[in-house]
Amino acid sequence: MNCKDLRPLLSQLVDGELDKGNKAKVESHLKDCRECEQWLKQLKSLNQIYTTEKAPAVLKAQVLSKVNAENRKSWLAVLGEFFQSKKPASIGSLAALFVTVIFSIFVLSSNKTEIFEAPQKSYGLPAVGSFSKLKSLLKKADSGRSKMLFKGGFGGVWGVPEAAGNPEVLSEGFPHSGYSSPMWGKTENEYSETNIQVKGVDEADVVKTDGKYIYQINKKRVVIAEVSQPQKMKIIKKLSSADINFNPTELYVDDNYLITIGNSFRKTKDQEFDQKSLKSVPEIYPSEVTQETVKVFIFDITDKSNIKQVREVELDGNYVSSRKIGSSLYFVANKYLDNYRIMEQKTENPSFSATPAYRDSAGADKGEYTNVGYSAIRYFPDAVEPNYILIAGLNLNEPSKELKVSTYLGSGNNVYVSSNNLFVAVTNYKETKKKVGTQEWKINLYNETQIYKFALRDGQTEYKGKGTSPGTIINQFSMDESDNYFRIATTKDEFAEGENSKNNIYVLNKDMQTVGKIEDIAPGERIYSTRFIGDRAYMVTFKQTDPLFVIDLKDPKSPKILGKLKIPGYSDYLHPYDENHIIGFGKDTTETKDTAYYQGMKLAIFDVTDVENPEEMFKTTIGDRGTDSELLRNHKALLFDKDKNLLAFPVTVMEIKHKKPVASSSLSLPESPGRLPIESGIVTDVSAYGEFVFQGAYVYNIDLIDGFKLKGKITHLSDDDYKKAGTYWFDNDKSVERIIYIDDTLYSLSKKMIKANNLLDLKEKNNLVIE
Amino acid sequence: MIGIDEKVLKMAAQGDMRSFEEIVIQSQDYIWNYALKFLGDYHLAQDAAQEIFIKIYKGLPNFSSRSKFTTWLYTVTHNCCTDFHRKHKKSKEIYEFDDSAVEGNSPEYPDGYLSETLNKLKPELRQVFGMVTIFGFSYKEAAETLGCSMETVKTRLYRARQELVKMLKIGNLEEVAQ
Repeated sequence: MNCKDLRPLLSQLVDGELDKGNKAKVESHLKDCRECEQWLKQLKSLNQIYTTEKAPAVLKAQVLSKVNAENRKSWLAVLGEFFQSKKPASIGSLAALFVTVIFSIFVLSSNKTEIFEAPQKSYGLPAVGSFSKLKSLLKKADSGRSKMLFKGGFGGVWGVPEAAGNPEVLSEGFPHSGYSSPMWGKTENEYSETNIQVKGVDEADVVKTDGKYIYQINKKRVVIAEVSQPQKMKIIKKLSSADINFNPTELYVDDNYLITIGNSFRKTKDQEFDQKSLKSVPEIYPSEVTQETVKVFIFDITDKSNIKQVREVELDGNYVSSRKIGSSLYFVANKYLDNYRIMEQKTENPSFSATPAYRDSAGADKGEYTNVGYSAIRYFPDAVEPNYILIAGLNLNEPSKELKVSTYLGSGNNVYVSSNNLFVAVTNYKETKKKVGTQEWKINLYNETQIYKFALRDGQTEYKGKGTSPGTIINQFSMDESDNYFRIATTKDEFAEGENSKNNIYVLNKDMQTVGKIEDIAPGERIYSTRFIGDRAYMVTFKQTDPLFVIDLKDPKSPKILGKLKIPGYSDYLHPYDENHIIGFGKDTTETKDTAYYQGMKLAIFDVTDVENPEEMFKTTIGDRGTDSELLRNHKALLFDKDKNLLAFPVTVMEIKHKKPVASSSLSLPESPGRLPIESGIVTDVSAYGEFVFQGAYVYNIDLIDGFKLKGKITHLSDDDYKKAGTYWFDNDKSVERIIYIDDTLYSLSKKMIKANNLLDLKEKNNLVIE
Repeated sequence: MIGIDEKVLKMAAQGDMRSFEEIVIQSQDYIWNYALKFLGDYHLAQDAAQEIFIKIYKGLPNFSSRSKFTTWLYTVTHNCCTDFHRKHKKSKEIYEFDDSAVEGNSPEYPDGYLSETLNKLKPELRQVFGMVTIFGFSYKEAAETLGCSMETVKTRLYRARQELVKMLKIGNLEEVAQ
């Protein structure tokens, strides 16, 4: 078969529509023909470009609220007809209608206050107990309809970018110079750590170092490089798993252990799934069920020449987050419950258990799957959801003690961990409903966040209570615990009142009851980033300009706004510089009549010494519209060291080469939102994207005298790569992901390379290609 | 591919909000992706997607058969997007690179650019590509909807892809990635 005949078949292959005979032919051809292989890759990229978009979480809520509005209209029409009707017999039902109208107003207002009612005081939660109880719980929850909407995670909720976290919140208050302050290793060398939220509570990342070795998640492997002498750095080990389904995403390293965490899946044959157990067999259910799992591998690394796997743990569900406190490792997973399928089953199908399973190579069952028993699954009586949340814990120093799994009917999207407690938050939509005759009307739709609190000790977790706050949160940095008080910053949407957002701060006591709050901050705007530092909260809201709010939390019962600063642009991530200065990372914006266009990346230092009048002390921008950095979504991409005046992060820079004014004829379109009029009568296109010019690390010297001074840029791309680059750029193996330092050497890491530069002058010392 | 249970359809047609919600959940990604890729603007796509769902909600009582439902869903989506495109192109609200908003989608290929490229294709190629790649139709569904043969679907799809790969210069990017 020649290439010309084959190419159309590749298009069918991409769609999974190629028949078996042709598939075999194509596959054998692809082995020998690089050009066709290349063509297949191009087709796959094309498919990806046009299919990756997921509907924004807000869409469904908007649709439902519009449909409700339609329904309301017809309801009003009914009312209208009623008043026109002259039949005397209608008077009785007219009264009934009024009663329901009044009742509905009552429901609406009482519903709002309900939020602040005390959560259950008793920490003991009831157990599910049996399959039939599970069914009846789910059935009840279903009719009550407190439906969980965020099955698929939190990305871009309500159109807000998944903002970078605001690193840390020191529960003990200041003045530690920062979470990213260098840690002194047990030997004499000094090295950077992952930028974490809470001191002492480690977070997993794609790159870690112990000062002598660098550990990196690299495709499906863990690459370990010895770097004690930058001139002689070398790869000593590439670990890959025997489980080809395992996709490691993050890792931890300490003196003794290397821990990799990632997703995998297992298949269960559902032999009994047939007509016997079902009323009807919907064809969408295959007989083989794929169950996603979270997998953890633990390696003993005390002897680098003999790294050995010592433990393997697997748990049903999707990985949400993890933390490591000393030798205790905790991880959280969500497992979706097939509600429909469970309802269809008269009795429990033994080959398709409705409870989650896990296995632990250190367990009594020698690594066989064990299902969590119904008696061990707890539920929250007022909030049952068709989902399990699983919190697993283990102690690395007790290798014979089995993994402890706590299972609850519930769900979680964001996890915040203080030194003592773990908080899992989930945002739900709530609706206010009312019945008129046989029809139910939805009056309002709003969001609220439930927070579950669990005490952590030695790899064990214990449920401590549940709190509720109106609104949604953006990430782990929206939450904080300090002196037994839990603080949370939320954005609330109410669809009945148009789409007005309001921002709030709530303080909850140790029993998760709300004791203090500030509501309705910056109506119409949304929170882009929050940072709690000791007694204060810093909050950036945004619609067209960026107000930075400084909020005082000294008295938990009466938090108050101290001051605010309005400037163009917004910050996705706030990082404390010292107790009176904050660094903001975000995008610059240009305001037009009715909207604002984001431009290049913006860094700023805010001075909050005078809390009532915060100031922007320094600012610098990188590139034009289109410039992006992982730091804006993930705090772990930042390297900051105050003592070394060091600031570095990976960035993709886009620049507009020739800034051309747009022809003035466009001025005849005053309503056009994409163009910003300038006095001279020419307009500049503020919606234009730049062209790709750089990917790599930007390294700054940062202090309070000169602000940001760009020391240099480090890239892993060759001159040839730059010449070949088109207008756009896809992340690839040479994209720098992390920057770390060990002693006087700065290391930048991409999947393809580790580059060592002198920390003082950024002169390249060496580079190591990773095959 | 959108697979909605017949029971759910029937319930939704009778005005059951839960079932309608199920339909929204099952189909929103396809409809959203279609609207965004054709209109190239985040806010326009949001308006269009809402209108599409309202149309579906109102039109549901007329539908009870599943096989016809996906075809109908596509037709509503396509027609609504076409209307939006026509209306907003006239009023020049659609730009070369429109604001895909501060929400910032893919910085590599702005939505406006993807939509512009797509709209450079011949209508018959664009339609097949939209149905299969963006809306997730099988070849069979596409052929039935268009009233043509499977072979025609295959050929048009291949041609559409050839042109798009060329226009988007995907080859260059791949080379660099090597």
